Amino acid sequence: MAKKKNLNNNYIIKYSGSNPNNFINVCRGHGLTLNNIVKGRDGLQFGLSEKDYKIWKGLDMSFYPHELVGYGGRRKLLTWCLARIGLIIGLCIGFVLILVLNNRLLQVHVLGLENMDKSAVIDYLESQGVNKLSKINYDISQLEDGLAREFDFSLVSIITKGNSLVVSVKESLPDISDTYAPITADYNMVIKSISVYSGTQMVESGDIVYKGDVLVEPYYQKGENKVYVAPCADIIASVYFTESVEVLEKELVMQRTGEYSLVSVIVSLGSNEIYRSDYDVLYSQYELQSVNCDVTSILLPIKISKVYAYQVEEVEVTKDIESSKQEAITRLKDDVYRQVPESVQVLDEEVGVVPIDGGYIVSVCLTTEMRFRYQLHN
Amino acid sequence: MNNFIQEIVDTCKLPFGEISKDFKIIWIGIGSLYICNYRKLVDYNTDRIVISTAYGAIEVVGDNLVLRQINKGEMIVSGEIISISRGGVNGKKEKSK
Repeated sequence: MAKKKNLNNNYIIKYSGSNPNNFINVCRGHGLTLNNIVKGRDGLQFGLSEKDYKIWKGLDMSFYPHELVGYGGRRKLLTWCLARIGLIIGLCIGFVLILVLNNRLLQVHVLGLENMDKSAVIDYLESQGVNKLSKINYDISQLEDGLAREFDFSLVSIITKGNSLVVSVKESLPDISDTYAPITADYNMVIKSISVYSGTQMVESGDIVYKGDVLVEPYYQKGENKVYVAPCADIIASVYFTESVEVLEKELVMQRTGEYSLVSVIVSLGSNEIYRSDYDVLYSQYELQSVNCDVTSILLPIKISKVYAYQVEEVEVTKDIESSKQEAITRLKDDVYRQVPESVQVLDEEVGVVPIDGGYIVSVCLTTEMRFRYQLHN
Repeated sequence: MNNFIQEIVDTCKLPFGEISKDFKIIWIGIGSLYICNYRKLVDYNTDRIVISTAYGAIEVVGDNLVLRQINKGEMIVSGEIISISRGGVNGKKEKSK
């Protein structure tokens, strides 16, 4: 008798009749092989292989009280798997992802940047073929040299950590002449008084200066030579904060017609894009609107983002000009007051309304007095 | 007749034990019994199994006896086998043919 393999299907049947010995002989007589026969108080339990079970089902055993109490082998394994289908699918997806994403770049970390944005470094790396989901077999030393040359870094170190690329940089120290920068105006203002302690004064009391104008140069003129110093000055000025807007009685607004079309579908796993499909926009004038949908966030953070293009058309709208004007004044005041730094007192508020063809130009101007003490250290 | 078959089998170098229809009991190790060419199962309990053969009834006595496998011609018994004897259903010895 050959030993049966564990994965072969087998069925456990319980006989609860009064003559089990006779029942065994009847089964034998039909050519069945009974396995693991256990005789208990409530009957006889035995196993049948898949082949014997097919014969068993073809027999008329209605005279013998029996029932199927269990099964094993592939069928049991299949039932176990079906009962845990989510786990099995998760494991399969995880296994596939491990196979697919193994040795692929998922994230780029840029460390040590202070004065520049890391997107510039990432753009440069992408131009060198360091893209997401690309295979991590880069020439690290070439990338380091390229970054150091491109951005004038004093130190660049690139290491790979799992699926991440860690770029550590140290920016070059700024030129020492940068510390001798001139003092410039932070706002549009009228100088009321200026006291210069070091540097060369470029404006006088009563001058109107605009944001960015040089107030004090960082040097002394000594004969024909310039002696650079850190400029220092104390300035009191009237600072004006203004905002204006055009309010028209008839205005063209963009209104949706109700028609829309799909522009793009993006399936992403976490922050990584795994599928993207783009379509042509059918309309000449349109607005874009995106809709995000989390497919599942239990096992895997899969997200679907769809972008729709809504057709729009220009519609002329006639408004109540007086109420629109008041609304504009209120809105402008809010905006202008938001620009005034805290702890600065507003001395005067002026609202100007100038009529134009078909509407008004509304402006709000706040007058404040501010004291600036500029002191630059080298 | 058996002697004649025995001579043929010896001449042809065939395994006589394997091809003959004689009743056989093979005691494997301590706890397993292989029985083939028996007629039918007469009684089965955890402490006693009785089978009928062409040569009369055979009684297997033991503890925790389990029929591991049984089909038309073969049977495997496992458990703590104490004794194997020729005997009837009620313990009486049957006459061998």
